[in-house]
Amino acid sequence: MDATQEFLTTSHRMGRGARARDACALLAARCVRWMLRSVARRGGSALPGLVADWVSPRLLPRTLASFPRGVVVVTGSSGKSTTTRMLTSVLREHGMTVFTNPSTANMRRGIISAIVDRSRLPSGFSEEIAVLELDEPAAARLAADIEFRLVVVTNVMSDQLDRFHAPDIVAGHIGTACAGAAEIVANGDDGMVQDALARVVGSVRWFGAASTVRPSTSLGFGFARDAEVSSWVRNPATVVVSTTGTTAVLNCHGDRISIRLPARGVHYAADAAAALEAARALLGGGFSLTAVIAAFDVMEPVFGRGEVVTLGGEDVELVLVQNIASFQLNIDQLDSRSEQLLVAVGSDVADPSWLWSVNLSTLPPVSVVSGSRAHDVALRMAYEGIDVDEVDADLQRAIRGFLARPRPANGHKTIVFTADPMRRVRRMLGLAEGATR
Amino acid sequence: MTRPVIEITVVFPHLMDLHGDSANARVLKARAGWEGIDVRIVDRSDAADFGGSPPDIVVIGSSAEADLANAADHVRIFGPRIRDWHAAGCQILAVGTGMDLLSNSVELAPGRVEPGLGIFSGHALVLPAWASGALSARTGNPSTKLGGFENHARGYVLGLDERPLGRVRRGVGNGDGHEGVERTGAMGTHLHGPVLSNNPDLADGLLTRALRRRHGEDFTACSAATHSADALARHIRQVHF
Repeated sequence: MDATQEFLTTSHRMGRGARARDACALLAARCVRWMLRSVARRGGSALPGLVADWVSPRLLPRTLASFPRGVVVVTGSSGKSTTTRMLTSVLREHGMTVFTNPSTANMRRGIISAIVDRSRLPSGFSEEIAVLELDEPAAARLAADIEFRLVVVTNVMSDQLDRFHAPDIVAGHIGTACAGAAEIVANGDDGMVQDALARVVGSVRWFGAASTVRPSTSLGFGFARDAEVSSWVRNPATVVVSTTGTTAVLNCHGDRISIRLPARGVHYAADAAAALEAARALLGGGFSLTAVIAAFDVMEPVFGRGEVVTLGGEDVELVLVQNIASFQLNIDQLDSRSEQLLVAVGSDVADPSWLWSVNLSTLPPVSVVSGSRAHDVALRMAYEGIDVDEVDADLQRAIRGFLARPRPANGHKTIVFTADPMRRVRRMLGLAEGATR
Repeated sequence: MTRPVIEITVVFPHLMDLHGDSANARVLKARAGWEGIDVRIVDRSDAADFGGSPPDIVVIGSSAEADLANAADHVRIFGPRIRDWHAAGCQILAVGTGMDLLSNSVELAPGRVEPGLGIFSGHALVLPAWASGALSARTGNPSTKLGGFENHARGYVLGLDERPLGRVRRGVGNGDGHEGVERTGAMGTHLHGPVLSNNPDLADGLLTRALRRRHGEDFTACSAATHSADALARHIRQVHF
């Protein structure tokens, strides 16, 4: 590393400073990535991104500042991935070229890894705009380095309390992330989001859902605090009017539009409303409802959300759950076709207490619980009176056993998992990201 | 013969249920149900709810820090009623800021100490750093340990007439090597969420005392459902804490 450092110092003195340093960072990171892939046979490591950041800490802000139409950040407790994908699709359908990050890489090093993977030397990116999914602290930190063109705020939930301690701390991050943004698109039904944005400089546009379509469970959408009066009531906005299956009707500034959602559920309709409002802000007069409808028509089912894959000739539904609200909304969406269920909760859930805030009364009998938190899930279910056939913390064995069970007479098997077991199961079954029927 | 009935009250679930703490009432109900005892769970949030007959067990959970002032107001207004219930023999389980607000005094913000409800005789004081993560503690019984998660800003200085629930093995707890507090008829802990499902001994202690007072009989946990749930809890305590 001494030679690298010496070279970096030299190139700095030679005046090519920043650019050379960034190029070195990308080169070093790509070397590490190549070594990991060819020698250690490991993909998807955070190490290349860490190396790039170490060699050139300004690589990230400098690269992001080079997008001519700026950087859009999607942040909030839940719905980030879906909203990012929807917004990206809608913008592309309008002919815009968009750089975006993979949904699981939503912290600083994940963005840098995406840059390492995708930027071309020496010119950087050819895309016009970046749409980045960022977790709340990462968005707040990055806001110090660059000015966002637009921030989309999905919601604030009592989520990952082991990391954030309290929802108001999350709201604080969101306030910081939005402080210098030119424009903000925010959830008008979320009380904490309203408060977090009370003092921002940029103009705020709203999205939301009519009270008639909100989830009927006691959790509602699962916001840490519902708004007393939704902000979209007195402001032009995009609002979910109704949902039936995978069809949603939205009111976009007075225009009614019917779109096909990439998965069942009113929370996806809310994500779509956020994406529409953001696209409208970014495209101005070029915004076309026809293009929006076309974008949603061809959208791939959401990664790990109601996605159906074929394994050994049989259909298996994969459902990713990440927090109270997504667990609740997803199990409420399970229909009678989910006859056999495997639930896997892994070490990504540091504190499984939140499992007790989810209402499981509608859950069908469970065939297998697995993952390193299998016993926590089983205990939760025992107190709910839900029958569990088998508790096996060994994910590989549990999945194999589950798939080997006789096919259900009606419907199909369903696997509900958190992010860590999801990644392991996909790797084990050789499923690529977004592999669908 | 009719099944004995006890009532469990969850106070201010709209404000004080940050980590699913009110689930502890459902744990008590299930454990009692497995042994043939009926439990009625009643949520109490406002003046209308605080009339009526006293419950046998009160569960009060933790609020978010942002809601603490509001929660403190609720305890100030309705607390005397809880104190009456306690004086009449009602058992209390207090978690997190619920425990803080039921103390003799509580430091709401650094340097701002205010009187608490006084069901506990000690003091809930702000810790030098936020405590968050796994928490385990040894109890007097060498075969049991308490295990769960903590996420709190305040520690606890025990009153002279109080005992801790255990000695901390991992985590912060009260901040002085102890975790939790026990004083006649009341139990406080920093273990949040499903503390009673992870630590069924605490649950059975509450049920035993409640049943003895109301029906003059002991609570014996011996059903098959109890055994299988407790085996899961034992595994969790061994592996994760």
